[in-house]
Amino acid sequence: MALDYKSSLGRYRRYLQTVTSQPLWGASLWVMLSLILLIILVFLALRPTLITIADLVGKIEQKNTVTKQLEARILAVSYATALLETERDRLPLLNEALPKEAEWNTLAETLSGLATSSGVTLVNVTVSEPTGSKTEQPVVSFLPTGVLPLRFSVTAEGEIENFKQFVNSMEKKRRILIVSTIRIETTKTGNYRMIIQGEASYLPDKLNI
Amino acid sequence: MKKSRIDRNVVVLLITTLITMGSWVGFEVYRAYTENKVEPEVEKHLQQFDSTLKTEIFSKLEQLEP
Repeated sequence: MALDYKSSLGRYRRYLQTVTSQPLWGASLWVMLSLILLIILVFLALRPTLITIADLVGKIEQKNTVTKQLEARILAVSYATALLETERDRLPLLNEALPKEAEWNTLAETLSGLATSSGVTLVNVTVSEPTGSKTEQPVVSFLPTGVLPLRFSVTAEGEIENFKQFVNSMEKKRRILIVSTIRIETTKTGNYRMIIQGEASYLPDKLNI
Repeated sequence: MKKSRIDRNVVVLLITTLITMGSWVGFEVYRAYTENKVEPEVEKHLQQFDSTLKTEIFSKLEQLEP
C-alpha cells in the first residue's frame, strides 16, 4: 500500500513537470500564419470596406438632416414672405419711428410744433448734428447696437400743466424720442422754465446690423 | 523548450497587433461616420431663420401721432 502511494506520487510529479514544461499556447506555424493572414485581411480588405460603408451611411444621414432643415427653412421663408406681403403697407411706419437718416431738421420742427400746441414758449432748441461715425455709441444703453442717437435739448417757459402736456405729446409721437432728464426751475420773472434733454435715434442702412 | 517560448511570444505579439488594428479600424470607421460632410455653400443656408414679425408694433405705431 505504501509502495503504491509512492509510485502514484512519483507519476504525478513527473506529470506536473511535463505539463509545466509545455508552453502556455500550443503555438504552431499554422496558428501564426492564420493570425498573420487575419491581420493582412483586416488591413487590406476589412478596413477600407468598413470605412467606405461608414462614410456612406454618415453621408446619407447628414443629407437627410440637411434636407429636413432646408425644408423647414423654406417653410419659414414662405411664411415670412406671406407675412411681409400682408404687412407691406404698414412698413413705412417703421421708417417713421426709426428713420434711416438723422432728419434733425424734422425733429426741430416737431419740437417746435409740440411747443405751440402745448402752449409753452420755446426759448431754445438744440439738436446735435450727427457725425455719422460708426464708433458713436448711444448714450442710452437700451438702444440696440448700431442705432445712432440724435441728442436734443429744449428750453421752454410756461406753466407746469403746459409742461406736462408738452412731455405727454412728446411721448405720443411716432418717432422714438427718449427723454433722459427734465429740469424745471423758476426764472427771475417768476415764470417756470423747463429744460429737457433727450435723444432721438436713427438707423442708417450702411450699418447692416 | 526555448523554441516554444519564442513561439508563444510571437503569438502574443500577433494577437496584440490584431487587437490594435481592430481598435484602429474601429476608430477610423467612427471618424468616417461622424465627419462633417456638408458643403460650406449648403451649410451657410442652414442657419436658423426667424420668420416672426411682431405685428403688434405696427398697431401701436398706428395709434401714435405722426
